[in-house]
Amino acid sequence: MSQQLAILIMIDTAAAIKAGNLADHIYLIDNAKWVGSTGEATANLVTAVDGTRVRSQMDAQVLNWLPYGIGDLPHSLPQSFFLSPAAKKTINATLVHPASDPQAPAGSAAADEAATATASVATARVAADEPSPHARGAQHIPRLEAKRMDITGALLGKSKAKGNTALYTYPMPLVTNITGEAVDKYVIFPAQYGSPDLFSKGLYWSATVDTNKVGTYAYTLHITLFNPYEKDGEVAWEPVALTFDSYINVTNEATRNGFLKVPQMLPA
Amino acid sequence: MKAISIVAVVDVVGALANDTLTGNLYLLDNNKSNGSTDEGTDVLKTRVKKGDQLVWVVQTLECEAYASIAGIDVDSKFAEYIEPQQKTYQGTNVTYWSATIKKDLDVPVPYNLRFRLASRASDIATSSSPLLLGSAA
Repeated sequence: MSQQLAILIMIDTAAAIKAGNLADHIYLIDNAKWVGSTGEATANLVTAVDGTRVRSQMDAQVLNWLPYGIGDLPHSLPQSFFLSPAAKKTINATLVHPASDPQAPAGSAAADEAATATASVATARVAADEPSPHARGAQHIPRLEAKRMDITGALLGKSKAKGNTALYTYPMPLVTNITGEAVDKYVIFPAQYGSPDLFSKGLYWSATVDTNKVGTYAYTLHITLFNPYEKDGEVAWEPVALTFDSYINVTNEATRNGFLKVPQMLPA
Repeated sequence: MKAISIVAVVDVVGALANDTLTGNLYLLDNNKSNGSTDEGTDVLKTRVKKGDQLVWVVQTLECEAYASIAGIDVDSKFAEYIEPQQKTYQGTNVTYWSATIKKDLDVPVPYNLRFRLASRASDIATSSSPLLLGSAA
């Protein structure tokens, strides 16, 4: 089977934004140290990939990049923890008790609740070009607003933002593209994948590796961070796009995994 | 006063396979700009001041693996500076450890971390101590 390699991208978001670069504030950690990766938890990680496959495409190597801001709330928290009260109402109105539901006659408590929630949708919407939240027939869910929290998960009001943005947890860093030598030479084939996440959009980057291409290759991570600033008395987030180069080293060692520490031919 | 996060990245599979956290624990904080050192090692030195709020959380290298911090052990002689406590994110079963620096540190304060990993029956502890450092220490 394919070998899933995880590359955690740990970023001190505030420091990287202040410095205008990632080099001194990024730490990459993968789960292939036992295979020979070097520079774990530094900016100089070289991810080792065993290249020789004992069977076929079935044991292809897959890289997964997972960005994490130092100061993020734990990613193990359930997604609903991050939703604002308005967003929870939106879900309730859109999915649980849709206003078009014939079971909820006009004037009923459920319909009233839905109407209130629809009003709050307007404040939760971020982009003007989003489809109308009224288009329920198409099962459209408007973009959901996240709670404003500090690192203990305590709710922060809008007024507390003034002069104290340091308390806010930053939105998690996003990988927006992967380019560079390893991509140009068709060593890795990166793409963005999604999972059914309601508000973070649940996107992640993954790549398969052409392990015939033995050697060390650079690739460039395109990362967007978000910088807080005051806009009309509220905190808004300005995207800051930065890049960083990392490396993979494809060897002609035989593929191993946790079940087969000594390389050997698997039975067919 | 600052909020400082300390993230313990644990290679759960590596720690269980080798029955040690040595080489399988990477500690990172977001205070390098103010003088924290040894980022990415198991002997992180975090620079702190009176009033700073510290939060320790855990992140596993493989998202399928389970890890949580079972304890942060600080010698009782340092209780005048810091007494970490376990807390829970409201409405969830996800825990974190938190402490407020009660007094400026005039000596380094070492601590040890204990983790619960996957279905391992007992906690597993660090064998080397990360430190908290005051501005003068």
